[in-house]
Amino acid sequence: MANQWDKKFKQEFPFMALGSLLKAYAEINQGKGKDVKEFKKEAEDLFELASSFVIKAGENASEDEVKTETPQFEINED
Amino acid sequence: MKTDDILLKYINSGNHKREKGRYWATDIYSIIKGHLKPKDFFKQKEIDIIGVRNILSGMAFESQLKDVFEKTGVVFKYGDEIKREMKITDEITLVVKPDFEFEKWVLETKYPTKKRQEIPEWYLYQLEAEYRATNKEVKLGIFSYPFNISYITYKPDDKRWNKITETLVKFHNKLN
Repeated sequence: MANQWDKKFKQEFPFMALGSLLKAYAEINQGKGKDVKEFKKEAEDLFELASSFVIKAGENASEDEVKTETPQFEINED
Repeated sequence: MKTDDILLKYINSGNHKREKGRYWATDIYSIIKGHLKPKDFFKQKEIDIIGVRNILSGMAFESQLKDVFEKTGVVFKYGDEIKREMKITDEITLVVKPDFEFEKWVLETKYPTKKRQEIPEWYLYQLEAEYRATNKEVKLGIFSYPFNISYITYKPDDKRWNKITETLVKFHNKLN
């Protein structure tokens, strides 16, 4: 059963990349007088970029499967 | 009693009674990480209902696997007959009990709450102890639903073993 942190992570992880990009955007553009219309357009671009990161990360994770084995068991036929 | 109360009673009444000088492999990770402190060692910590459900799920899968092995003639040993007590020093004994033992390897089963890409750190110390205690290859068996088990071989690590013994000695010396 997932604990509260697992649940929080599941809810938030798709948006973490976007959050990081928006933070970087804010730091880069601080004091440059961007208006809301301009911000909205650029935020949409950042959303597309963030989504591509999440999708790529998901693909990498699914390829990184556990290398499991299939051991042989000795059977007593008596 | 409601079902939850029965489950809580079932798990919480079966705790090992702890004693100085006798440590269980399942406690090593908690000791190393500082989650189990010397001052709390003798306190019987109540396991909450979420923990109880997790433990019972693992027990249920393990019990079913044992039944499958028995009914199909798999040659294995189980329970107290495979329990080892390793002397770390004259005063310190490490108690190790794998879930299943075969001629050439031992199996420790877990039913993790989420899919794992590798052996989680919190299992490594127990697996290392099982290797040292049995001198056999140790496999982690990860249960999943619908009933399945995936096997991953544990790679022994001398540094990890040294850390275990050093930690137990320090912990033992801090116990009153």
